[in-house]
Amino acid sequence: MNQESHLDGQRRFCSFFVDGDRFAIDILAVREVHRPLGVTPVQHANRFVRGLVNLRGQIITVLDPAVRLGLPPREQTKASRLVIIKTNDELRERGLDLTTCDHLVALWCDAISDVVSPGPSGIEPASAAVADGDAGDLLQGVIQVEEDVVRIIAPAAMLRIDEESTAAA
Amino acid sequence: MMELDPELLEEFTVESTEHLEAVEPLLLAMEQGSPADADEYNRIFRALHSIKGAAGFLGLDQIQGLSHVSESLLMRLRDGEMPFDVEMADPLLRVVDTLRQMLRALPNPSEYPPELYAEIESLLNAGLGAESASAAPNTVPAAGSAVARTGTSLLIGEICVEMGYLTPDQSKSVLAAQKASEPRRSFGSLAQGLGLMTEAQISEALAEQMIRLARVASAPPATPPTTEDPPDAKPAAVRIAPATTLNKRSGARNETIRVSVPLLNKLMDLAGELVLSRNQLRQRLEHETLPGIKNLLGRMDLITSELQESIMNTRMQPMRGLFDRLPRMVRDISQKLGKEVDLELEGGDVELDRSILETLSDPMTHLIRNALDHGMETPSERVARGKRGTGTLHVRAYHESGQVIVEIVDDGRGIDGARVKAKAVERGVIPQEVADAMTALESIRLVFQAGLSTVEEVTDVSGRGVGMDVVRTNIQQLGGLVELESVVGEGTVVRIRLPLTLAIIPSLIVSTAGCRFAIPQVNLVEVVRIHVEEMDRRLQTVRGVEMLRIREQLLPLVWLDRTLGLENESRAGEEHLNIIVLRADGGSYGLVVDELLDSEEIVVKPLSAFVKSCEWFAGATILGDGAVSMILDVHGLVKRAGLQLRRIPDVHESTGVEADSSARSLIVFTVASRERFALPLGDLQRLERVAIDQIEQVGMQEYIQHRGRAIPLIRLEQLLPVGALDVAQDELFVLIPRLSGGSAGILASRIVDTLVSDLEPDEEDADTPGLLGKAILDGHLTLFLETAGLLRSAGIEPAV
Repeated sequence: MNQESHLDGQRRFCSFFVDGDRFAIDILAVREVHRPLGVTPVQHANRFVRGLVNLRGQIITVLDPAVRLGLPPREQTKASRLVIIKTNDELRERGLDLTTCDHLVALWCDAISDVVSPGPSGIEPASAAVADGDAGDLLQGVIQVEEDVVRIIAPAAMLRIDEESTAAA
Repeated sequence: MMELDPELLEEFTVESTEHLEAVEPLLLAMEQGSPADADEYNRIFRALHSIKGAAGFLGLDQIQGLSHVSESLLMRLRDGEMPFDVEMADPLLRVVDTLRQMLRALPNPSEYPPELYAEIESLLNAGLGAESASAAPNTVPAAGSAVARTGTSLLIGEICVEMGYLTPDQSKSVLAAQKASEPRRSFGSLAQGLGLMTEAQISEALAEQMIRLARVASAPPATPPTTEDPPDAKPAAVRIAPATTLNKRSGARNETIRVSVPLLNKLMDLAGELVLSRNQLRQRLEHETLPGIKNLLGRMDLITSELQESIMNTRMQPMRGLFDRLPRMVRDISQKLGKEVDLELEGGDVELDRSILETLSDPMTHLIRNALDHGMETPSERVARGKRGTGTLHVRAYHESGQVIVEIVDDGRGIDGARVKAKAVERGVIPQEVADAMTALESIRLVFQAGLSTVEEVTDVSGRGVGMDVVRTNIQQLGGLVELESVVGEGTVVRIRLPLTLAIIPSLIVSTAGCRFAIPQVNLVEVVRIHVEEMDRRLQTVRGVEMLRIREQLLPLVWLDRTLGLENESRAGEEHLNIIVLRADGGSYGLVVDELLDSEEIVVKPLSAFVKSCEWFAGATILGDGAVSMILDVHGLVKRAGLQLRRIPDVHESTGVEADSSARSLIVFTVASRERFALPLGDLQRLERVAIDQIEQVGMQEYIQHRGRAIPLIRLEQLLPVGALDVAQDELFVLIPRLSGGSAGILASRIVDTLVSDLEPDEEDADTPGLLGKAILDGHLTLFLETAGLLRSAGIEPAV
């Protein structure tokens, strides 16, 4: 186990906004955060795919979590950001016990927010109210940060490669 | 004494070392307790067998002997004559090690360290258990030098007796000691330990044993081995070349090193990245005025290109590797089928990316089987049709405009389009009305559809209809194309077009609706520009498909913006329509785009699983300015557009050229092998492909017959200071200029390309009639011709 963010026994999460709600992903799974410059659309690809972007010579597939969560695709604004996710290989190299995706991908969000940690009550199971319907398995749970409910994304489920996420439109 | 060719020796060393490396992991696995299966035994066996064979050929008796013994051991293991024992792996591994040491010491076996001899000896003795079954009779009628010593026994004890080193009793006592030893010790070391033999004597005896073994292994009873060896030559030094020639090689041995393919791939990727960075840097700095920056950029350009090329070359392998297997294959198949076929191979030196070559092997095999099975007739059938009884299968590879073309040409019965069509309708592959509208070529191409075969009976050589579709898919995955031409009764040509390499491909960058796309050059035929005013006349809709009228044919159009669902407002004000004629399997089509931007060498990046299902894209790439661009897949686009490819206009076919606005389209051709010529495509009325025997001669003038007229032919070398027409080929091209009124043709040996260029030639040669000047086109110096002047100097008055 790598201890980068576990030094004080606390897991840390990188939080961001999608459609006004706050989501978060384990910070160990995040490679970096970037502005969405020059995203090339892939015509007739799945709506989940926003396009491709060049990150220092590597092509990254930009995914829109909103679509997986059953929300409309997000418009680009000045605050929009790409949360670039480490691949499974990268995680393995660093000895991190996390699963994301075999491909280089980034999650599109409306805005980036703080790094958060679960409070004393830890990660609670997501109630039906925050995770309705199919989106249920996309969340690991929720944590309470001050006034906000932050939804913790299950990266492997969010980035799952299946018919739903790859079918061409 | 046989003179050893240093190059042969070198090759032998490298090859044998490779064999040993392949064997080692298998033996290691055996040692781990997993008994090898028959296949693995065979692999080890084959490797050792190859070493044995080559060593025998080179007269390296010791290596031959050792590999022979282990080979026999393996054979018995494989055939179950001997039970597998984990301990067997050890002696075999030691054989590998010993062979390796011998290879390393190869020039001078007399310098083998003594412990090597001991090793060899114990190995041989262990092996003799395996050997005795076949070699026990010990009746080897060899006539070599060592036989002067009269003995034929292969057992070390008896050899020592024969050589007078030991008395029979001494030998027996050593053997007894050996049997009692635990762990088993070698005969030599025991004899030495007992003070019965000197080290030198042991070496001599072992060498003798080796030679006898080698003879058992190699000598076919009827042909005695070479007899030139002086009778008293030292056995260990037999047939070893003089040290002088061998010393020269010691440096040469380092000329090749083995590099893992992943490492090469990594280098290739990095070179690709470097090319991209270079492109970006160039775009950024091109207009800067920093002192010296131009030079620096130029140099960097050069180095990057050269680096990329060199790394690419490490992956290039000659076609020969593939070709070498064909004679045997063709022989076996044709024998089986009772057919007589001459195989002609051409272009074994043409190099291709290793990965392409590997993937090419299966489709090639399939196509050749097809040609022999379906294409070629039996000798009696052939004779009955007035053909030579023996058919010809011609396989050739050559370069053409940055691609490699592999052609498989047979002179068999050809493909009967009507039969294929009937079959396709019968099987429900296509409806009757589609079949009715098909041209001959289109119906022939139906064989690429899954589940079609024209041969009714199923033979075990090829065909149940599976095949051609798989061939096509395989080739498409390589970014290549398969073309098919066939004349019933005369034969079939299968032409495979392949990119030189998969990693970096020359592409045309186009844009539509503000998005940029890359189109691999391999798919590009020509670019046609149509003025808005012409559109009504040139475009027409046939059964809901928009078609472009081009050279008396209709070319289906695919609008890139519509097909990709892009809203395109910019087109409204455009004066021109840019149509890119693309070559796809099943025919050509025109792709309508807004703009042609650039041609760039792009590095193909594979698509992630999330976008893999988008068949209209072949991949993605990073352009010079750092933006990602999608690479169009010409086949997928047709599917996406829901189009059935119809007409197949091919500039290489006989087609009438009508006036079009593509005045800047050039046709590039050669006459001799070197010089390239360019003519505006618009200057041509027709392009004809003619067989060389269609050319007739009357006096000094050559003619061809066309539609009942005799057309005089112009040879460029008679008018211009250029190389003479290459007539060493079966077919030539005749370019018929519009200005001649269809009554004169220029002879060309090959059509290299058609391309669009706004290059103006220099005017140095402007005073030579018929010549406009020179320019570098597509990287080659090209002579631009001027039709009117050319015709005049040939004595033909240009029609206006």
